[in-house]
Amino acid sequence: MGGTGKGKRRKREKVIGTGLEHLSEFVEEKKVLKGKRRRGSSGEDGKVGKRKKRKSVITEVEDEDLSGEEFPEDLSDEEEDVDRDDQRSGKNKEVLKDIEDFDEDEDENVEIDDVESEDSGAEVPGRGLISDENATWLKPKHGKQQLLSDEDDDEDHDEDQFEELEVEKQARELDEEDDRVRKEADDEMRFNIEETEKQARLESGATAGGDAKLSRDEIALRLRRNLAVLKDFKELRDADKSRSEYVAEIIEDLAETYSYIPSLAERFFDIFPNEQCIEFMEAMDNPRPLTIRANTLKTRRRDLAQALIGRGVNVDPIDKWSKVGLLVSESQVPVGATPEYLAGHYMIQAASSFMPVIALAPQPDERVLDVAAAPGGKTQYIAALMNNKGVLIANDAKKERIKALVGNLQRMGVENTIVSHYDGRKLPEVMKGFDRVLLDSPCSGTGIISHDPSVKTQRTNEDIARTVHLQKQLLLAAIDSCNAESSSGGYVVYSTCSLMVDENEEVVDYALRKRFVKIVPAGLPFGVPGFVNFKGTRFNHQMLEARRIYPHVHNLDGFFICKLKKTKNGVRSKHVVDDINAEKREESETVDVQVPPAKPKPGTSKDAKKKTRLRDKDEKTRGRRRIKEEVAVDSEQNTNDEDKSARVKTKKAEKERKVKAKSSERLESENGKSSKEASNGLDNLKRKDKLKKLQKKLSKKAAPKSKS
Amino acid sequence: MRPLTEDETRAVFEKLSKFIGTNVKLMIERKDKEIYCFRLQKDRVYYTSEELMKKATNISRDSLACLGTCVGRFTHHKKFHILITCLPLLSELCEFKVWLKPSQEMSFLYGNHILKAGLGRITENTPQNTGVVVYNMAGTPLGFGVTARTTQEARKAGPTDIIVLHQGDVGEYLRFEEQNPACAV
Repeated sequence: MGGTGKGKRRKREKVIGTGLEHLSEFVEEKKVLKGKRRRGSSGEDGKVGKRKKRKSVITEVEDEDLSGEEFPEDLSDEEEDVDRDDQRSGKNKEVLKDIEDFDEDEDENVEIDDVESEDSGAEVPGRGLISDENATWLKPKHGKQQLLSDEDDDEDHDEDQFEELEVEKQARELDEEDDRVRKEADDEMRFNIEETEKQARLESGATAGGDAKLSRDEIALRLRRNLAVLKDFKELRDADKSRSEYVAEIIEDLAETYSYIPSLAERFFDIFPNEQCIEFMEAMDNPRPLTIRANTLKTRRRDLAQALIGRGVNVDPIDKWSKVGLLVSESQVPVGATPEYLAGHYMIQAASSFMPVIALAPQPDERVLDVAAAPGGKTQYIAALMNNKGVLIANDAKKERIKALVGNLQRMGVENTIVSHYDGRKLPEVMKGFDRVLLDSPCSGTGIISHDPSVKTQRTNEDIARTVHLQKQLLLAAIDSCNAESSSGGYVVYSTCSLMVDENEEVVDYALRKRFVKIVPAGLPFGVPGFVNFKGTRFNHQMLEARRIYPHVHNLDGFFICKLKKTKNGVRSKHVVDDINAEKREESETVDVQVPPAKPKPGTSKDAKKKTRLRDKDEKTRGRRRIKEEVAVDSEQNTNDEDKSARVKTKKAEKERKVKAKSSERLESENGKSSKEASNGLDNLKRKDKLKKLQKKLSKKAAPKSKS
Repeated sequence: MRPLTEDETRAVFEKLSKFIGTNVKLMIERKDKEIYCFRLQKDRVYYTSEELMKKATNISRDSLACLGTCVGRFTHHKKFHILITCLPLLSELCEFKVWLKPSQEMSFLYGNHILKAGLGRITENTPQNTGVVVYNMAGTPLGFGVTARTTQEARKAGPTDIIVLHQGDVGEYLRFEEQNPACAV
C-alpha cells in the first residue's frame, strides 16, 4: 500500500462523492469565518499553536457530527459513518467539555459553523478534518485507515500555514481564475470604449460600423453623455462635432436602446427634447394601469366598486377628474369575464379615451355622430352622458369591428344609437346637421405603444403620411356633417391616440384653413398645450387650446384632443382665408408691431442675419404678389352669392391694407404660415393668366362701387 | 329596413308574450308616452323609438348594422328566435323571475341549465313551460329561460333536478362575439 493514496481517494470521491460538489460557496464563507477565528484567537494568545488550531478543528467535527445526527438521511448512504458516529458520540462529550473551557468565543464561531454545515452534510467532518488526535478514537474500517492517514499527511503540510482543505484550495484557485478572467474582460471593455471614442472622434459621427460592437450599457452611457452635452452645448461639445451629429448619434442610440426604427425615434426626439424622450420611451415600455369605466346607464360607480371588490377585484376611483373611472389595482379573476362585465355594468377602457368624450360634452336630446366608433368605448360613454336620449350615430368603416361595436353597445344597454357602416369620408353625403361630432381618428397608434409594441418597428414615415391624408379627409368630412347653426352645439372633437405632430396639429391646422372652425378650450382637467411652432412650421396660435396627453407626464396613453367650434357652414375658399388672416392681423397689429418681426438671437452670426434679411425681402415681394392675387380671386368669385358678406369684408380689409401697406407687409414676414399659404396657392401659370384678365374686370367694377 | 308584416308581428309578439305576458302592449303604449316601433333589417327585428327609426331611414340597407335594441331574429324557416340583446326589455316587463345563487352564476353564464342546487329564489306560482328572466342575487339580469317545473314542484325537487332550461345568457356576448347575431352587416 504505497503511494499517497490519491488514486483511491479519487475513486472514492467518484463513487460516493464528497458532499461538497455544489457547495463551493459554503466553503468560501467558511474560509472567511475561519480566517476571522484565526485572527481572533491570535489576538488573545498572541501566538497560535498547532495544538490549539487542531482543537478548534475538533470542535468543528464534534458539532457537525451532532448536527449530522439530526439529519440521518445525510449519513444513510454510508453505514460505516453512522457506526463511527455512534462510537464517537460517547467521547465527544468529554472533548466538548474541554473545549468549552478553552474558549467561549470560539464556541460562538462554532455555532455559526454548525448552522452552515447543516446543509453541507456529514461528509464535511467525516473526510477532511480528522486530524491525528481523532485517530485515537476514530476507528475507520480496514483499508480506509490508510486513506485517512494519508490524507492527514497531505493536509498537515498545508495546515502548517493555511489549514486549507483540498476543496478549499480548489475553490480558491477557481476564484482566482475567475478574478483574472473578469479583470481581463474589464480591461478589454475599457480598451473598447477608448477605441470607440477615438473612432467617434476621428470619424466624427459616422459610427454606424462601430455601433455593432457597442454593448447595451455602452450605448446607454453614450446616450447619457451626449444628452448631457446637448444641455450645455457650448461648454461640453467636442470642437469638431456639430450639434446635428450629436443629435444623430442620440437618435441612433435611442432607437437601439428602446428598439424603435430610427425614423420613429427621430420623430419622438423632435417632439420630446433630450431627457424627456428617454422618459417617454421608458414610459412606453411599461404598461399603463388597467382602468374600467362604470356604465351609468345600468349602475353607479360605488355599487360597481362594491360588487367587484366582492369578486376579488381591487378597484379604486381613478382621480378627481372622472366620476365614472375605476382603477383596477389587483384582480384574482379575469376583469373581462365577470358577471358584472357581461351584464354591461362596466367597460374596460383606457382612462385617456375618456378625454375626447369629456371634451365633446354631449347633451341629452342632441344629435351626435361618432365617425370612427369601434369598438364602442367612447360611443357608449357618449350614450351614457346623453342618458339614452337623443340620437347617436355610431359609424365605422370596418365590418369586423362593427360586430364588436354592436355587441358592446347592446351589452351596455344603449338604446339611442344607430350603427352604420360607411366610409367616414362619405358620411356628409348620407347625413348632415349634427350638433356634435366626435372623430377619434384612425392613426398610427404612436401613443399606445405600451399596448401594441409592434408600432415601434412597423410605423414608417410612409404609413404616417398615409394616415395623415386620411385624417385630413375625415376631419373635413366630420366638420361638414356638423351643423354650425345648432342651438346647443356645433362642436367637433378631433382626437387621436398618436403623438405625431403630422397627425394632430397639422391636420387641425389644415381644417382651420379649409373650414369655418375655431379651436375652443376642450374643458379637460389637464394636458399639455398643442404645438404652435414645430420644427420651423408655424401653426395657428389657437393650437394652444388643443391638449396633448403624455404617458410619462400623466401616466395615461398618449393622446391628442382638440375641440373645434364650427362658426359657419360651407367651405372656406381661398380669399376668405386670406381675409380672415388680414382681419386677424389688423386686430393684433398694435401688439405685433411693437415686437420686431425677426428678432435675431444674440448668439447668431452675421450670416444668419443676412439670411433673415433676405427672407424678409423675399416675403415682402411675396406679400405684394399675394395682395394682387387676392384681388384677382375675389373678383373671380363675385358671382358667388354665398360669400357676399365675406367679399365686403375683404374689400374693407383691402382698403385698410393699402393704407397700412408697409406695416402689414412687415407683419407678413412674421407670419410665416400665411406667406406659406400664399405660395402654396394657385399654380403660378394659372394665376398669371387670371390676373391679367381679372384685373381689367376689377378696375371696371371697382370704379362704380367706390362712387356709391 | 321595413316594418314587420302581420305574420312576423304575430310571431314576435307570441314569443315575447311567453316572457312578459300581457305586458306586451306596454311595449307599444309606453308609460313615457314615447312612440316605439319594431323594424326588420336583414331578418333581425329591432325595437326602436320613432325618432331614431326616422333618422335610420337615411342609411342604406347595406350599411345599417343596428338600431335601437335588437329583439331577435327570424330563421330561414321564418321562426322567431329571441336574442340576449333584448334582456333589458324583458327584465323590465317580465312576470316571472328566478334568482340564482352565486355558486351557480358562472355555470349559467357558460350556457348550462339551472339546477335546484343553484336556485336562490323563484316567483310564487310560476307555471311550467313559461319564460322567466334569470337574475343573480344582487338583482342583475343574467339571461332568460323556460321553467321545467312549477314553483311547487321545484320545492320538492332534488338538488340536481333542472328547474329552468337555459335559453339565453349574457355570456353569449363573449361566446358569440365573432358571429354577433344582433349585427345586421
